[in-house]
Amino acid sequence: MNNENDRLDGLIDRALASYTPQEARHGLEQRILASVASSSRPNPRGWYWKTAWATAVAAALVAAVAIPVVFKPSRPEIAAVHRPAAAGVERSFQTISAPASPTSHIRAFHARPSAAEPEAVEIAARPSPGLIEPLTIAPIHDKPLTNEPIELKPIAIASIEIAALN
Amino acid sequence: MPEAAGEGALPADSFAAFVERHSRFVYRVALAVARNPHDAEDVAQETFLQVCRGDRWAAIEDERGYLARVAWRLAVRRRRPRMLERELSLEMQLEMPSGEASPEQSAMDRQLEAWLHGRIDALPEKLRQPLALAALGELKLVEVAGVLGLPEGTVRRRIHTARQRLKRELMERKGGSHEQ
Repeated sequence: MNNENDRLDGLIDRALASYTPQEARHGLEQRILASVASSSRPNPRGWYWKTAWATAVAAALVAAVAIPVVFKPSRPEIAAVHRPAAAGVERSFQTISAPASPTSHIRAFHARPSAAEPEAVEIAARPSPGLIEPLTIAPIHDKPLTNEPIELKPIAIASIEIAALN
Repeated sequence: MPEAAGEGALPADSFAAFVERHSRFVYRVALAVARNPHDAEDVAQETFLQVCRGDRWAAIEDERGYLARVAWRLAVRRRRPRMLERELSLEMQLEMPSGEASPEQSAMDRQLEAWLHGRIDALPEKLRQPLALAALGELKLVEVAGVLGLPEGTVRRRIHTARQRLKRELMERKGGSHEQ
């Protein structure tokens, strides 16, 4: 068993010894030195490429800044319109409870139908009982305060008769 | 720096001596990992290029260990897919000089060695690399551990595991050949 083991070890050792061949191709040192020399030599084309890159980056930056300025999109000017406040209009701060869930009437109303959708307009215009009903505020008739004379009736005090117990 | 580097370069003779001293060793480390002579030579060139570029070659204390680490790292990056490696391994084996044995015995040995090289290539990298680096015979176990960045005990254990696996495969092959 030991002999077999030693033999296998020997085979593996031999295979490992030849696993990496000893010799490189002739002139390895010269090739290494040549490659080191060529890489350490200043490369005149390097300056050319550096300059070209710098110019390209600068041009791109200028373009990025200039293009939005030169080709500024024309926007329609909006004239400021001052509308006078409607006289006599007062805000009412009445709280109106919202409906539990939007119905088709409300959705149609919010969709702002155009003239191309007459049925939607019709739906929106249709009065809906309880939902789109115009709010009517009943006028409050307050009676003018009048100072009426207060009549004070005289207090009549009846005479108390105390009868004898016996 | 070599003579071709011109003025302002590193001292040519000392760098040339540095390359002369270690280029074969670096090549072999690279070949052990990359398993391809062309890649190994590229790695060797790149290794010296890096060392020279960093201008630190003169200050390296453990030159062999340092170069082996750089070469190993570069070679690992270049490692090719396994199928191709096996073919290359066989090619490399065919280039090996034959021994003194008879032609038949020599042919059988070469066949077995080629098969074993294939099995070594088929090992997981974590087992193959310590085994291949140790097999160079130029690095001590502690240096192999330094190259791989692993504790020495781990490297020892991995080499042992790799050898055990190869041994088992050899025995299976032997059993299979007896059955035939």
